[in-house]
Amino acid sequence: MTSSTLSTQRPPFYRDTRTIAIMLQVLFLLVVLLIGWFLYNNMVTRLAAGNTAAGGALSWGFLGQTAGFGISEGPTFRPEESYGRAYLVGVINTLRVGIVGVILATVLGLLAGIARVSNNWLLSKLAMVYVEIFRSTPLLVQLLFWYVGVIAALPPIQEAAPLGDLGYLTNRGMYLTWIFPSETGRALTWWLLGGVIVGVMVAWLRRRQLERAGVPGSGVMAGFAAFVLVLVIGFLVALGASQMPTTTTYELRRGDRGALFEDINGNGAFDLNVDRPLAYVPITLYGADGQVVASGMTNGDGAFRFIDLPAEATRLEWTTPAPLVVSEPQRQGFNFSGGISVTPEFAALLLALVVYTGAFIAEIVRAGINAVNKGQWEASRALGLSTGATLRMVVLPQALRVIIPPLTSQYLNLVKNSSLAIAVGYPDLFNVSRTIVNQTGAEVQGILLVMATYLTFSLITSLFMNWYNKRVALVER
Amino acid sequence: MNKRLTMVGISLLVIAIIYSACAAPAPAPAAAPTPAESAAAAPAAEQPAAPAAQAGSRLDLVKSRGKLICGVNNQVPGFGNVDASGNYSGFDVDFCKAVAAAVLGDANAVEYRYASGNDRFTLVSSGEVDVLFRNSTWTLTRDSAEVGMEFMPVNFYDGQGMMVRKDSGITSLEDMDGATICVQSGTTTELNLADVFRAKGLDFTPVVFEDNDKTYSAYDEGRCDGFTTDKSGLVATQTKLSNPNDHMILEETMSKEPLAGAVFQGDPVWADAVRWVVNGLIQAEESGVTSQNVSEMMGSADPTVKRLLGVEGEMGAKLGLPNDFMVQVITQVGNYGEIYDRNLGPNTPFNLPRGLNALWTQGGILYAPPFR
Repeated sequence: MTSSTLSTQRPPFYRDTRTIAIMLQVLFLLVVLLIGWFLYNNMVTRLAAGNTAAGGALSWGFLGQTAGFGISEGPTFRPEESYGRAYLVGVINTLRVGIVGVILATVLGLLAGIARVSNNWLLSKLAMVYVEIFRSTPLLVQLLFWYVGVIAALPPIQEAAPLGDLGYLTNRGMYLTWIFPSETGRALTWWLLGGVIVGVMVAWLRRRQLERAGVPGSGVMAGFAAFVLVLVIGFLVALGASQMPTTTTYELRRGDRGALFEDINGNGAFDLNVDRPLAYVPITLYGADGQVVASGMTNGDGAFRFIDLPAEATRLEWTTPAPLVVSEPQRQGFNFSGGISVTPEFAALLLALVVYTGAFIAEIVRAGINAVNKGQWEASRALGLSTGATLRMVVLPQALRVIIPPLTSQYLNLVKNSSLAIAVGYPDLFNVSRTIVNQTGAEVQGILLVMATYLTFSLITSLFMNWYNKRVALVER
Repeated sequence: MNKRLTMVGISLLVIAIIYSACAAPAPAPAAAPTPAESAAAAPAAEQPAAPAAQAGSRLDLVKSRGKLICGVNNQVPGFGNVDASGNYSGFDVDFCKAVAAAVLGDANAVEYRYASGNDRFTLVSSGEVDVLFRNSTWTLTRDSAEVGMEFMPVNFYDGQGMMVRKDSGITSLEDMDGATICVQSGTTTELNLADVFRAKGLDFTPVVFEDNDKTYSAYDEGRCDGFTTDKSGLVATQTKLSNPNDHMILEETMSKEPLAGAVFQGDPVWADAVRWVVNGLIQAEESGVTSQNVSEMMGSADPTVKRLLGVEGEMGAKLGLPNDFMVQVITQVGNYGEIYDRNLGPNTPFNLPRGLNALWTQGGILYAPPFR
């Protein structure tokens, strides 16, 4: 009797673990909000007292003002454009070094990690030396080593070292011959994208077909063939339809430079962000007497500039280019023009990030491989699989589960570490933001912008890696 | 059982977090209302919460601290440089010493803080430094509430120049079409460079570094065709290049660069005190008062000299300074001319002619408002 009353009697609500749990959560949230409010309030009070631009409130109007400074690389930026656009150029520069860095660091880390567990004594020791050296020295030191010690030691531009027919290597950067889609090949970028999509789809279908048939193999070859086929079709279509816009006009300044563009608003002058520049179009410049003074090609921004002309050019003629053109670097004045260039700042930063992060990834890969049961190796060997095949088909797929989570951290580190760019003058988002803050006095806004940008990058990377991790995770039955 | 233990653990953790979170901000309000008592002991960074709102000026803060915190450069010989044993010297550094001598009576009661091109104004507006003497150009934007500086009288009239290699064939800016130019970030130099090349319709590529050392060493290694900064800075930096004689400075002056000290905007008492120390240095040269003859000059019949040296009138008291503040400054640091000669004059490696920086009576434009 008594025992039954006891069991039906509910405990007071404050002793109910569920209530306590909820109360604690609410309390915790309150505290977090309180601290947040305190910090925000503190900032606002101090801003008001410190009569800075903000004057108590954060204004973002400065982003629309004219920047007035130049940016050395990235998408073309003119000093008359806005701070907002300058920041965007910084963001793109960060993405450039971040994306290329992540890919190269993964390749390097994977190779070094596999080398470390290799049976080849020399190979595994070499990998060990690499990992230990680059993992144990600060990144900033390595960055300055690459920039000051390695790249600055390359020959000066006057004595540029030729790299065969490919280009030149100097302490101002590497200049390479490159193939670009010209004005008539603009659509090729879309064909390229389409080719990738079709290629991936074909590869996936082929793999499924092979799986159903029970035949070993992958769909990579079929996918690649489809990709190439799409590109070839795209090229032929572009070739057949190649035609210059009917309103093509040029602007000639100082008798040696200018721009070739499609005059969209029909006013005869080149207007930024309105008229469309025509890239990689062969042009010939004529002087007042009708003689040819120069010939060449417009660059990727539709601009051209020649130096030391025998006479001032007064007229220009253009011809319709092939969809793809080869552009070779040529010494012109102080620098090379044409081809593609890799600046010392970009190269140093990329090298430092890749080599440093690669060393960490190598250790993660090694840990992943070692985490796979030795029995797996023995079993595959017993089945007659070669070491390479064992690694590729048995060990790595299982190791990936261990590798992915720490790998994500390394990717995040690489992107965030790219802010060290400021040490070598590479205009990444942090570097550009410092200049903007200094010119405008918008301290708090600048820092908030930088933090929000890095946070966005990190969250996107994490989301993608978490999705991938789920895909390769062990499927429990 | 296990679950309950976990629950208790989590609760304890949460409570601990809450306590530590509550404990952190709690002492702050307690300490805040008594800044006067803690002024001397507390680090400078915590003090300037609202210098304008509070009654006390930074002048009082400096006096009670017994030390002046001065933002300077440490990479430009002649202006602000630090030697191997950590001693600061240079033209700008001497102005810090002058202010310390005026306010505290001791030219060596200065704590130097390196101010980079990027963070120098933040250091002032956040109150990390009392005054900034770091070859900074007086511009409208910096003076306005946007950046929030209060500029002192110009202590050096400069102009932006361009350094190139002698063998480059460049003789004027017109020859630099398409050149790569090394420049320091966050400077007026960076903006002038873009303006000048834009105005001339020339192309250029800037390579931007965060401090002077990185900028000139990149130029020295051949990364750039030109290196641009204020002409005084170019002269000073040329001595640091690996082969100074292979380089030259172009004739052209690309901009006006009036270099001046700066303090926090919104503290008129402190601004006036520093302003009149700078004016006093210029007036002392004009009146012929030097560190050698200052004690004799105390007996001078010239009323201007009498007021300058505090023999007559209450000039110092009006600024919240000792009446003999200029005596201290001139005895310990010297007048403007002595500071100039010591750091940039004929007996230094720079040998910079006075030019615009001569007194107005001698063909320059240095001119101190009357000491009355």
